[in-house]
Amino acid sequence: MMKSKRLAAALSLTACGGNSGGGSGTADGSGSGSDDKIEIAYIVKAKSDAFWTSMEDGAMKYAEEVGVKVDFQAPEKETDVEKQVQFVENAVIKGYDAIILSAADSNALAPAIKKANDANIPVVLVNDTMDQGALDSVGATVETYVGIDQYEAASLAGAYAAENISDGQICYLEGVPGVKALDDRLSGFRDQCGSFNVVASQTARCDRNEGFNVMQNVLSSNPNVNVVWAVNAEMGQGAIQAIEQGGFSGKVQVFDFDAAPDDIKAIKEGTLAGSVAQYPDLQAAAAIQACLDVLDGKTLEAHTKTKAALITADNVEAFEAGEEVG
Amino acid sequence: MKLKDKKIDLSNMSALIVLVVLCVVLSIAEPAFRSVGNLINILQQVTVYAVLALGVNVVIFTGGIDISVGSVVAFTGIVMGKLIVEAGMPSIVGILAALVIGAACGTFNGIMISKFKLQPMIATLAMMSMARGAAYTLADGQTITGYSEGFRWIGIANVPGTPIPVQIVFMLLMYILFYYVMKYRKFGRYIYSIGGNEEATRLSGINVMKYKTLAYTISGLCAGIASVILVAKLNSAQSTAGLDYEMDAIASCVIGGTSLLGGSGSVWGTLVGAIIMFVIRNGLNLLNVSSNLQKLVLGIVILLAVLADSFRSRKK
Repeated sequence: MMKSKRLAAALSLTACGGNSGGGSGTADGSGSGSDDKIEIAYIVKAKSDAFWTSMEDGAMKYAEEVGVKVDFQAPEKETDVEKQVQFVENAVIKGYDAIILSAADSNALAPAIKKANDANIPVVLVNDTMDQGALDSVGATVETYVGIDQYEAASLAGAYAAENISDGQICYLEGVPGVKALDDRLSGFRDQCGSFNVVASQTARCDRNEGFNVMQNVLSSNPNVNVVWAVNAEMGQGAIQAIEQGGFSGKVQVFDFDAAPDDIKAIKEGTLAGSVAQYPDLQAAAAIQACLDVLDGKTLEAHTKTKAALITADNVEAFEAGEEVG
Repeated sequence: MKLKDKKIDLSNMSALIVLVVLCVVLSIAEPAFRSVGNLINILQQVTVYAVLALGVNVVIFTGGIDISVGSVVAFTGIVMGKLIVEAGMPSIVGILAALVIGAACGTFNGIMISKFKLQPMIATLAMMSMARGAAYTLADGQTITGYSEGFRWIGIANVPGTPIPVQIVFMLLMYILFYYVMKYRKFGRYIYSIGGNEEATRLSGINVMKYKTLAYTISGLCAGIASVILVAKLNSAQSTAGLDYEMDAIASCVIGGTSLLGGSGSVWGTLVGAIIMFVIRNGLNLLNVSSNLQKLVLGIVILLAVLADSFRSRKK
């Protein structure tokens, strides 16, 4: 049973490989039946916020465009690493043609990736990358990492703050300790803002209510804070509420990451100065395309960079309309 | 009974002493700590957790545990958000729905535990997963924002003419009510008695199943109330709300001197326990202590508070 499935997969691989070689055009064979479609397991960290649902929409849209089948899966919680390992292992057993993975832990997923390697199933990382040492230690390899450069993306916001506000007191709302992407966002912004006086750099564990509480605490010892950098949207939104309730509206410029629907609304209302958009839909499309390229025999760069942009009051309308910005 | 009262008072005291010492130390280390505004902030931050802990405390008195409350906060919040913002219903309908669903989740836990004899940890673990899953499914990754000023009153308004948020007053009223019921009504006596010796309580003719179930109902109801305050405060309901809050609620009870074995502990001790946790967080924020260290410090203080309590009761 397994063997015949694998065989079918191998056949479909060669059949569709020719099509995808042409680029991003619609595969001609896609209409002839679902059995000979390339099947990709797309495993992310959670489906619990707008970021992941937007990535799922982008993946489904692009899958339809190029005529592949994508199964989008995620554990309930971003922190449920064990569950994600099981998803990867199950995908290997089921014999998908390729696996796209947004790793919930930059070390723990390495053995599961090794299993996919052993079964000759290419693995493409998206949005969250793996620790190279962890991969090497078990001899696992990945084709490429598709995603934005977190550091560069955060520095877009930092550079904007440094240019437009120039100095004053800054408060950083850090993410979950030990997550590299969040650390990179912190240093990306911070390295641009050397002229500011850092009065607080505290975690609010990526939670909205904690963001509120920490912001409230920081404002009581440092009422002259004029810039806030929150490394995710939830904390940014919590901070905005605390600023409003504490009567500091208009005195503090808040920047955050994700450009979630709440952020867009807040930018329009003037309570959020800027938010970094990381286009999850583009990441999804690039990841699927990377799988097709690998199945086609191409070798990819270690990092397939995707687009990030700073959304402010100046370009929020264009961003919403889906136009090209910054 | 007399003996137990004495023990309650003592455990109450040790938490209170820890709190006073903390406040004195922080006032010296950071002058901003002792400003009235900051102290009000702390009480406001503690409200959601203190209300959750109030319900969980009753469950722990019976010798049980409820780890589903954080998920119930998310679930009831999403239902409320859907009703008020998306279906355009009056705020009161959404609030009532949150309270009823919270209480229903708790009652379900209670029935599983008292009637079907599931272990409290397992039954509420299942509810934790179900409620969170329901919240994720209903919300589909979206946050639900945009509530009326009227609805947000409980989360953002101050008592007229003072800088004191109404949610603090509301929380204190709830604590007074629970204190009265647990200390002076037969419900409270039965709850402590079940935790102390369930079999003996049953043999003395008390409907243990009913009172145990009610304890979980109250815990669920408190989660619903906490959810209303949280959504009103943040102007948003999201499926990730309340993640890990059950741990803070349980820690508040334990720091406040409630025994996880059941049968002993006090209502006011739990409030003190919750305040201790937020005084520490607030102090660490004011002093800008590195995030990595904060969890460590919090863990040590929890350990010290509980150890102090354990030594005290062993001496007796």
